[in-house]
Amino acid sequence: MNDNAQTPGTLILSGVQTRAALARFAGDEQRYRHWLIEFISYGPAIAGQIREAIAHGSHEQAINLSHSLKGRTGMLGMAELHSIALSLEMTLRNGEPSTLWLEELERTVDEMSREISSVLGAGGA
Amino acid sequence: MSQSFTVFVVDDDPLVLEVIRTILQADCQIRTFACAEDCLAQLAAEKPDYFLLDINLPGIDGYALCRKIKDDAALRRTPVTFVSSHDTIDDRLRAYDAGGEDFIVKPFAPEELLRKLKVAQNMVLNQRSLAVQLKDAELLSSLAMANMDETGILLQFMSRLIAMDNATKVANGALELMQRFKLDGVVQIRLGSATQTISAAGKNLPLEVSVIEHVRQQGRIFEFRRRSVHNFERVTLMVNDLPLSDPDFCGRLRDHLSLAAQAIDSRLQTLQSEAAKRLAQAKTQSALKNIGDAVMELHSAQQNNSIAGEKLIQDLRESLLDAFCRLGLTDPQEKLLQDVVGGFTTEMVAVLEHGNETQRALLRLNDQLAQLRGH
Repeated sequence: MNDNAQTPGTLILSGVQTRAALARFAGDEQRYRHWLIEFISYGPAIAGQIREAIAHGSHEQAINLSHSLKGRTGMLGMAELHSIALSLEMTLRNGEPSTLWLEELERTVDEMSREISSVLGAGGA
Repeated sequence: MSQSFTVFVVDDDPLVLEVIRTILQADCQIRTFACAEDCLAQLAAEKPDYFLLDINLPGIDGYALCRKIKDDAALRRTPVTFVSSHDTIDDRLRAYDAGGEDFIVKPFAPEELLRKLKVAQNMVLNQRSLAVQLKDAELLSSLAMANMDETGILLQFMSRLIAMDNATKVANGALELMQRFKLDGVVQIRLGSATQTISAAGKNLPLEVSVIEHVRQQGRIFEFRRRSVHNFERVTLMVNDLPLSDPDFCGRLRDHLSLAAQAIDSRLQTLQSEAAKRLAQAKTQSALKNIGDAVMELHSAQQNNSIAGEKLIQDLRESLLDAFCRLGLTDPQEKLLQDVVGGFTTEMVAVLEHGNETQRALLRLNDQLAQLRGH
């Protein structure tokens, strides 16, 4: 079943299971919008922190940040980003090269931020 | 209990705290903390009924926080559910080792979280009951008074096992056996389609069930870290805290528990076959009753036929006498007709007598069926 088969008046965001996520806010769309807009700054910031941690050899820090991003994106219904964050976390835990997953993460975070800005407007209204 | 039930939620993501508050606030009081240290500080002033803990936390992590909670005598019975996006068997074992009762994976559906709350509320209600306190007291006193060696404990268990007539009694007996060996553990009994998992913490706790489901696939005897698992077809005994500092005692425990598990399995097999026999007997009884009812219906029908036949003969005689008067027949004519009807009546009486014999045979058959049914 397509989670984005919306009822009138609810959000449609590409790559986001908005109905399931909105249920976690008990249907309070205003609060859900608040956290989506917050992601516009949170997402790129945490992706940057992960890159920085890897560059400085702070392996545990990079794992923890990826884990946090995975949790946040899962709760917001961002299934694709959640899956990429999970892959990055696993790659880091296994000590494997993480560059490709990191780049994929940064690209998807940027796309998601643009999608949210586009749908909800720059001010999120 | 809802509003008097307090939940402490610890998670470093404010979004998760908001979501959990939104979902649960109608059913309980919520206190949220961004780190374990804040939660510990509040615990000095207030004891909650339930904890929801993230694992990855800044500073003290969720596992360590859980251990601190379980080390506190005033909190050790308070249920802990881990809320995390970690989801491997190793994560679940670590959560269980830390003393957690349950585990929920992010992202979760609201209904799932509400269900976890309901389970915790039931658990707390059970713990508060006088029966639990009484059982603790009895166990303590029996531990203090019993001056038995290990073999004595095992023999006593074996002798009591024979009298245990259902799976719940067997499960409780096995758990008590482990407790008498001063072991913390879990018992899972599988009888037919019913499975029950019990430990000192409660019954069918999701995290314990999940761990047992994993370890029961690992062979007859399986040991890892401080755990020892004894698997048989119908029972799994899992010890959580083997006294590794005493290898001799560990060896003896291995033998005792294997023997106990084997005996439990045999007892369960017997219970299973007794239950199957009871079922078969019930079916036979039911069939005998149905046959008895059918026999009595036949008897009744036969009796009705007999009564109807006798009445017909009587009616025929009366009709004949009436006809003689009306028709003005000669004596020879009347005699001829009386002979014809007399012959018919004699044959009919013989038929009716045969029917009576059938009725008596049916009654005898019904008596025999009643004897078979034990009446």
